[in-house]
Amino acid sequence: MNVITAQNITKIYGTGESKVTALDDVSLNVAAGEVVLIMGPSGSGKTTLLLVLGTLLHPDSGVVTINEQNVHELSNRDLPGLRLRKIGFIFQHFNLLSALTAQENVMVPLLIAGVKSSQTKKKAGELLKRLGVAKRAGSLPQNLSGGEKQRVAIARAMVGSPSILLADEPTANLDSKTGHEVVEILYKYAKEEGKAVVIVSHDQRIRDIADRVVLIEDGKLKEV
Amino acid sequence: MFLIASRNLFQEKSRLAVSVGGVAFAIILMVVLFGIYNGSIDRDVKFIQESPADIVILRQGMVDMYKGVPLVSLADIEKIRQEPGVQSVTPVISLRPAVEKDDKQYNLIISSFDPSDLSQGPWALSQGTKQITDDEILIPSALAKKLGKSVGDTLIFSESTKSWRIAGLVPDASSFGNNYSWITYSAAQSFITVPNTVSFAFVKLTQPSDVAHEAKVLQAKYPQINVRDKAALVQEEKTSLGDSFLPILQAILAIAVLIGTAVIGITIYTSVLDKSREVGILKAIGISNKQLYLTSLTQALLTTVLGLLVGILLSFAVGWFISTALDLPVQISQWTIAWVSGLALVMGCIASLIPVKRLASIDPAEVFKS
Repeated sequence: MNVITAQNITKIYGTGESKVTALDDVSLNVAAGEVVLIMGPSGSGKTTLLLVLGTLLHPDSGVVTINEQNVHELSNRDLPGLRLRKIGFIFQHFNLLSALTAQENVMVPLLIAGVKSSQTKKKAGELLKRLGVAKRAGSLPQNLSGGEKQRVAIARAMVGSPSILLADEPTANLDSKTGHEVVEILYKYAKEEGKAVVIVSHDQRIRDIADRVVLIEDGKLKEV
Repeated sequence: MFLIASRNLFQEKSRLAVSVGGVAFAIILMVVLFGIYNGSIDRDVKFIQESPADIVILRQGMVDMYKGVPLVSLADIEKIRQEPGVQSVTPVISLRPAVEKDDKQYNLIISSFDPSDLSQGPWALSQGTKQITDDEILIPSALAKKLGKSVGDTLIFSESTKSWRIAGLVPDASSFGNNYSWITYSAAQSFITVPNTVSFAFVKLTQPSDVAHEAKVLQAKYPQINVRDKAALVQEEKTSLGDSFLPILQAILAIAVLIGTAVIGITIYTSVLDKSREVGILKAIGISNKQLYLTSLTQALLTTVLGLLVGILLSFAVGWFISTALDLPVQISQWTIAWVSGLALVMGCIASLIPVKRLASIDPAEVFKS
């Protein structure tokens, strides 16, 4: 069953001579438990597609459906709620909140969702333990290594058990070993919990664990 | 949202300190100014408030009991003394001379009293005695300090040659440039220009259960004089003084509120500017604009509460300094603190609205750009 479907997505930036077609009639389906890797050269439209799938960017045409919900039917007021419940984001630059400890960063999505503080703390603690960074729970992001930051960021993305994980170059700023561990975590999340994982990356190692690899070039998508 | 708000706020300690300082400054300005206002008004009516009276008899048509020529007839006072329910009547002669020092003039409001009756005269003495002779005077301790005089020294009124020995000092007897002083009734009689008259009189009732009614009864019977219930007179005096000073105070209050609001608003706004990327992250995760606004409100209110606590504590210190160094009465009441706190919270709420537009305009998609 498809968790997320994108049908005939077109996104154009600019007008006239500066017009750039970032996505040109792109369609993509991702099923539960599936890991899809989106590859392509810089400026090919990978991140644009990720933003459209993550409901952070409105396409000029086409439809995105998440768990059978057409996201374009939702108002701007309702979209944050959908992202909170259904989508977890993992960023290339980790994007942890600098004033919060590792554990508090992981707690954030649950706190936004209105879950009790004691429960969020417990759940965040468990997840950090599972990802091997429990000892760093009380540390601020500035005191964490790149690998630790990304594990915390992944824990934050996973804490609400979203049905989709969207990861933008999750291994780009990590060394080989840590990058491999991060890939393992994402793979397990898809396979053990039956979630959809979409990864934008140049990292060839991810090819090994991806169920499907799609290549995007000049805004057009093709299966590899 | 409290977690994010408080952590963001305390992360930038220097900015928080500036903001709390700004709010505290506004709070001190409000609390101390109103403390001086309340203290001055209370002190100004202290003479009437502390008088041994339920009813005050004034000259007909008189608004200020200390001004004008004494024209309350002693004959009327005697008649009132005979009225049923009247326990005692104390005639008072009031004078308004001045004393000078180093080309500076200090206004006195002198009231007469009978030193043999301990219930009359000043409410307390910080030094000296109430048992004064006709050549002696009781003056405010604050005035004595300004004149460089103490008990036993003498003073001479402007345009006069008579010398008065200072027999005692009265605390809390200076306000709004008036210095409440006392001489004997017999000494004051020498200043009377219309024989057998006094400035006003204090009436004590045997059963002061319905003073207002008794005042009305006496007024109906003696239309040639002005019979006033003491409590009402005190209130009128307070209102009259308030009407004179309140507009100035309100203007300063408005400035203080603007300063406080601007300081909190700028702090929250710059915090939002600095943390635009993190706001974008929160938006990508799924925080709503309403929740973001609540975070901003929480930050503003936390800043306000911290500024309020520091401001109130410092207000007592500043108030003490002003009353000690400048001899200004500062009365910081619970009510002043309560409404300044209320005003500060409103200030915080308004300030939290300043970054709302900026918060709403942050695009979460920007987070994906390196």
